[in-house]
Amino acid sequence: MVVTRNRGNPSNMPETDLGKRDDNSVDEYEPESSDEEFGSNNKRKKGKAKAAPKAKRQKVKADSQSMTEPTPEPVTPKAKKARGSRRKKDLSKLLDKMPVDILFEIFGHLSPKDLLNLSRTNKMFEELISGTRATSIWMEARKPYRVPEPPQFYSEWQWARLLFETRCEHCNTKNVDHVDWFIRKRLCSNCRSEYLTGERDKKKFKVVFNGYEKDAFQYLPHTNSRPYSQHTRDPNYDTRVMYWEPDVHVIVKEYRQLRAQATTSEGEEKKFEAWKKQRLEYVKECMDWWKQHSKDMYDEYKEKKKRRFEGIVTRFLDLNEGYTRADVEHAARIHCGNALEGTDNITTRVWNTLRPKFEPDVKWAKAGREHKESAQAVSGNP
Amino acid sequence: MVLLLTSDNEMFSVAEDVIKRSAYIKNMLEDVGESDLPIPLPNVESNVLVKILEYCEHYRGEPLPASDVDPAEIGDRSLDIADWDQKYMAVDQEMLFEIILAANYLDIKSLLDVGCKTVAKMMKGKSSEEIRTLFNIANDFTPEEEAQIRKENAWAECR
Repeated sequence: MVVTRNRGNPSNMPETDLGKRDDNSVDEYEPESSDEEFGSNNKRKKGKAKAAPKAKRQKVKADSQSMTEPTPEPVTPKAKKARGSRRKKDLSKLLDKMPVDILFEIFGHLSPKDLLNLSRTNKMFEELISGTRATSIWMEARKPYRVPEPPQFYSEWQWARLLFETRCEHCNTKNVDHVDWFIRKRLCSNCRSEYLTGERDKKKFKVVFNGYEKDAFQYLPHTNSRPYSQHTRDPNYDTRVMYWEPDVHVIVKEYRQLRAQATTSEGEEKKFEAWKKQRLEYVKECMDWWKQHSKDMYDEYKEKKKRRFEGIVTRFLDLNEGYTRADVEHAARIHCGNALEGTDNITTRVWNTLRPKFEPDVKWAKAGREHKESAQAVSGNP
Repeated sequence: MVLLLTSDNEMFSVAEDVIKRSAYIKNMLEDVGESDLPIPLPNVESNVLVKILEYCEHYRGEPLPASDVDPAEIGDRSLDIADWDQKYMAVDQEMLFEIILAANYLDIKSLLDVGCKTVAKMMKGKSSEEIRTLFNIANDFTPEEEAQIRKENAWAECR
């Protein structure tokens, strides 16, 4: 049932802010099915978000003013925002006028990913969702994902962004799985190849960090993992020390600035010392954190993989095409693609991409089993 | 019977056991006792009140939730909504938000909860841009700020 509220305003009656938006909001509301999958929502709904902006709408203010003075209001907001291809129109106050308590109640029902997306819609939401008041919301939201507690120096919000924002921090590439827990960044392999540099990359290191004080590097967390490449191969890769280039520039700049100021007064010197101390603490914390958490995170990864596998087994059994659990297990052992990695929530969409990759193996396993069975049946006959 | 006066001056006469789902009115009736005077609801319009009463009417006779238990507390994360509630909430956005506001004002926790869930469900699985479109939210980030959101580093903030 849809209740519309079309007030008869045929001509130049001033419209209210709210009445105006009805046409849009009615057809946009679609109750969602609940098989949403965390992390994969970027592509999925493109089609639904059309909501074609109605041709030029005048601002509400303009309408009410035009009653008294007939000069049309100049379209000021246009120049204000060139970005985003969305022209600033009669903006809704629906969510804005909600009491904050109610907004938080709504937030309480959202997943971390949803909260991140919402926080990026506008400043008000960002403020609410990144603020300390949202801490408990985040704690609840991440619970089902069984992720570690935020480390020292991290707020729930910062931590959630590292854990649940699936784009590359540097270039915004989608669906980046890899998080470097030492430098605490989610980066795509291209960016890692490009911007992770250590002293053992002799030439490059000298060029990009030309003249940089060696001393400054201890204030930066470092990693030893980088995508393999012929040019940078290193048999002792596990002892490599590589820094994230953009961070090096920032920290060295800071370091130099503080160091220069430190000579001017005692207070400045203290400031420099404090900075160094804090950076060292942070770096140490980054390095130690992984040692403490690698086992838990590996266990969780295995659990997740198991859950995914169970989901896949269920899907194959539901097909009713004669596949057995043993077939799927057999196929999993011989499978050399990546069908078994990824989300543990096998939605229809996930299934549809996974199935063509994995089904041939299952088919093969099934054929092998059937062949064996028939052979046994034959030999079993007198 | 209880008399209710909406913001647009419409008078509603409602059975007491229907409207008692509103903790606000229930408390008021308990405090004031029987009265022929209408209860003014300056925050609720008549068309919203009709909707609210439809809800109260539907759940008439069902036990009221204990006042100290908040069904909408954060722990309850499921977005399951009863079929009837879903149909009930299939209204345009303005009405949906009015219902939530009125449920908040009248202190009908279960309705407020369903309303919040409905809104959350609308947001679920959508990108920022899709949420903006859906709720007509203006993007007030500058392009620089928008880039910043993604690149800002935790270590840069921790000082």
